[in-house]
Amino acid sequence: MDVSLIRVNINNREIAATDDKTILQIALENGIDIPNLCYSQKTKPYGSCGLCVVEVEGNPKLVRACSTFPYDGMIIKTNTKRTIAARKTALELLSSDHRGDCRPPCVNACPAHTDCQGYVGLIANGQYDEAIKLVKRLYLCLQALVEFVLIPVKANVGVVKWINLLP
Amino acid sequence: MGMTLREVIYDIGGGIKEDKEFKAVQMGGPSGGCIPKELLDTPVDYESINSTGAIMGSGGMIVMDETTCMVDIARFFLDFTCKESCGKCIYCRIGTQRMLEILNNISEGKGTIEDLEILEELCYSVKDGSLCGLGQTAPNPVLTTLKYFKEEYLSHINDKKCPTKQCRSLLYYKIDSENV
Repeated sequence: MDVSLIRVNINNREIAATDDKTILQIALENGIDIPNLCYSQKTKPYGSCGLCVVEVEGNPKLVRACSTFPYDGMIIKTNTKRTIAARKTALELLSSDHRGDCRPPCVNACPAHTDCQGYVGLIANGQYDEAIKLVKRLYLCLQALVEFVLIPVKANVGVVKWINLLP
Repeated sequence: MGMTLREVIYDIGGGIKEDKEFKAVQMGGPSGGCIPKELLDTPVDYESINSTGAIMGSGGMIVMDETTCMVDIARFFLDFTCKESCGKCIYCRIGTQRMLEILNNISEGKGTIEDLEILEELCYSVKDGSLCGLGQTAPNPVLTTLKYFKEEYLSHINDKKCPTKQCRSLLYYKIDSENV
């Protein structure tokens, strides 16, 4: 896809940008803060948290800045009463479902209660020795752990790496 | 198309069974809304039905008589959309859940007036913020019943009574010792 240069207006500020970036990316690059939670540079936009909602002139709905690409001459308002109220509601709703007990789904699903987020992270960073140490802190009998945990881990990391690590 | 609701219900459908009184007609399924007696002369077309707060949907109608509790109906439809929510966006996943909790409380006689305000506010937020059609229309049954049958909600909250005696938690049995 050809990238073309466009002009967008965010909070009455004219900004030159390219149309391959989302509204959120353009805003953040230009020092305009739009609250966001589920946005990550490493992944494709998901648009679930609803915190980055902005108003676009001519659009009756609130649009998610993280997953909307701008067009030339787009007029965007990031801090209107409506967007702030919507963000507040989203955050309130989200916190109504959490009581400070958030744990990653893999931890909740692990029958052996291991820190699987920890060792999967270490494996991803190539820190295999540290990964083994972390696992061994909990479990001396690695074979049992492998029987236990390998199935949920299979989906996330290469199983081969794991087997090579075994003593 | 173009006929009034009254003609469809009374002339084609044969009216209400056992000569009971008409209360409301629900149009558009779980995403639709309840149209009260006063609006029976609304013609059945997209614009007119939408202006009442209901939607045309597939054109199905659920006709309800005086024995139907509107809080219960709102709860029934919201229960459906709540379960059907895919869970991607917060508004729909948690918003409908909280709305359902409030409705459950009201139908159990634990509701307060503040609950009603929160419920209405939540309805508009969920409508505004949801990504897809399910979340955007899920509050319709609640909004329309709140709009046209508010007194029924109020009697659940203030008097702890269900006027149609459909909400079981609000029923009390008493022994009439004089007439035994």
